[in-house]
Amino acid sequence: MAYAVNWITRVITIPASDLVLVSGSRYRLLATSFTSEIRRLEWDFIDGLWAEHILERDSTRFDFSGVDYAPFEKVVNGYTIEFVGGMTRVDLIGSNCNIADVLIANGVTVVPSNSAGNTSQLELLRLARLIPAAL
Amino acid sequence: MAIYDTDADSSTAITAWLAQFKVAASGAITFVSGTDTFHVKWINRSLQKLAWDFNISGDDEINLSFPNPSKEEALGKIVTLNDHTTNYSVNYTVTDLVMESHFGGSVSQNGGADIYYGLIVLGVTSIPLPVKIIQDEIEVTSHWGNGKNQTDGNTLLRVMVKGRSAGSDIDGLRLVVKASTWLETYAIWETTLQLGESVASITTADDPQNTTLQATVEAYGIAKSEGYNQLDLDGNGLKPYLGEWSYSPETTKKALYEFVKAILVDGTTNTLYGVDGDLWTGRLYDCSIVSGTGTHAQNETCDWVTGNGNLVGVDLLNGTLTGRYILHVGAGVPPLDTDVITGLGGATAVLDADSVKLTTNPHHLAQFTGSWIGAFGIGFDNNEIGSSDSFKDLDGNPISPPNYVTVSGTMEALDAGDDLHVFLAKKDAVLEAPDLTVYTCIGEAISSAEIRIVETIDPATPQTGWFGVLKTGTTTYKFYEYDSWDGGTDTFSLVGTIADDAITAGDDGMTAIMYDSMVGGGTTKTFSNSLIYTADIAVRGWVRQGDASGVDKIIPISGTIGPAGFSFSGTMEAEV
Repeated sequence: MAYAVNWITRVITIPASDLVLVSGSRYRLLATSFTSEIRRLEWDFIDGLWAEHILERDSTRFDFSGVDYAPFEKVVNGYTIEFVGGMTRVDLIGSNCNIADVLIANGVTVVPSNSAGNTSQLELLRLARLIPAAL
Repeated sequence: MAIYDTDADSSTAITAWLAQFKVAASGAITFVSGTDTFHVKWINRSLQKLAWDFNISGDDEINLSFPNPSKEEALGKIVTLNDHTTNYSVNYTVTDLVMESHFGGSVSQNGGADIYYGLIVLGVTSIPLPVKIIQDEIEVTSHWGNGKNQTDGNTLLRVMVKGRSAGSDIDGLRLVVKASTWLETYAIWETTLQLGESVASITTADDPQNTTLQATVEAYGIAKSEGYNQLDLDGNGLKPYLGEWSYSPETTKKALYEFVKAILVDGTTNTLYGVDGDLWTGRLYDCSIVSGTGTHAQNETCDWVTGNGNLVGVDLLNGTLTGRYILHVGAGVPPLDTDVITGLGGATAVLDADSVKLTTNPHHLAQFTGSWIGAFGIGFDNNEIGSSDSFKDLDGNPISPPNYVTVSGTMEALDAGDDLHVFLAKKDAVLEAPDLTVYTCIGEAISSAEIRIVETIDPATPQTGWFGVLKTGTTTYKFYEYDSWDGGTDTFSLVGTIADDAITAGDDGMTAIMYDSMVGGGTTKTFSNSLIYTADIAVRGWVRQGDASGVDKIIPISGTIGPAGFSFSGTMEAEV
């Protein structure tokens, strides 16, 4: 089974078989795989060449202060995503993406790895002087 | 070299004539030496001078004791050499060589069994060029180079042509005068010889559309297109034409124009409809056929009771079914009602009316100014003509080709093996996206080779393209390539057939201008289509690369098809 797209209802169905098994019912979705498969579907004559594109991929990773930042991937044009196949959790790896925003809720927990640059909530609170510096 | 026209000094002209020719006691007039040329009147005047003289002088052997050599009429334009064989054993005659030194009228001899006729070719050319005379499917051997006896500024040539031999007129005294010099426009004039001097007129000019070296043009890979065709050149149905000329693999109409000129150029060894280009006279006749036998062969020679020629086109090669037969007259007169045309292969065609002469152009195709002007009955590849061209079909109906415009794209791929898919369609009236709901399908069964729609097909739909349909119960549009459509029945004829699922009545449909892989062996990929432009057409689409070799960013296409068409270009960028 592979990704399936209902180009009319704009629902993208991603099966467990196209995810990387982490353990048990926990899976991982790699951004590179996701992008490649979506682009293939958008390109295919018998699939979605005629249809509006699904994904906008913003800038590739770039070297900033010695670090490669992940690209941004945005599902657009009203497409939604549904994970099927019995998984309970899907970790989204390799990009900052909005899949969680366009997810069709069916009990699967989706964990993005988006980064805004400040990863410590505690530090933010200290900077705002909402908590003592000693804490 | 002097030219002694009719108004030359009599004494001088006669002296010169007598010096250049010998008149034997038998009456035979022969050329001795000299380069002067004479109006035929001076033949009679010189002979009368000899026959008046008491003495024989010079190399001439005639004097007062001989019977009257000749007479002249019509101010010296009609000269008759007398035959006194019966009573005097004297017959005044000239030879072909003698006649090469004369002009201006006719010379009859042997009791009228042999007649040389005067021919004057009037006209203007931009450069000195050879004028050709075609008589009875033979080019008369030139002794005039780029002109002779040009007694005034509008005269290209004055010569004698033997039109009657041994009591028979040669090809009914018909002549064709033509000029077909490279870089110059061509001209053809048909005339019939008459006693005295007959007139032909040709005018040529420097041809601004014929500027390429002849050898270059002759090396073009263009294919001759000969024969009868039913073509739709204006989108209003099939009409009859001769040929379906295409400039491919060259890229311009000018190349085709020059290519056909090269077929007909002076000295060519090429043929058109089986006729040596040098002997092409453009005398095409349209024959209505009521019955026939056998199988006609394209370009075969044919003959009928009063002439012969070549088959240029028949509507059906099966002789029993032929209704229209178009021929090029080589010699004789065109066939008349009830005449039977017989082809070289034995096929026959019986006329039920007199044949009708077709309007033709000396360049065969048409006048060319960058556009085809007034082409009569000549067919062209309908992808290579436009609204600037003007035509008539073989029935004489004016045809106004629509403005076919090209829609094309060029993309630079990252790898030569990339398979770039392009989709382009008319823009939705509201959305910034292709219009997907243009038509409503009537419904087709599986294996159907056509798709019918409820609405009228937009005339600006490409002649070949793709029809996309959203079949009931499916989740994507399915596209079928079509190779024609009929605006009368609003039907698209498919390259293949409907597969997988039937089309249900009411299913949405649309057409794509492009829905295919771009082509090109290297990294440069192109694709093009064409359609009839009548008004601006907004289009939207994209180029995508998503095969296993790697995916690229999507290149959007947005623009408007205008009167000059539409093109897009870009460079693919990897989606790393």
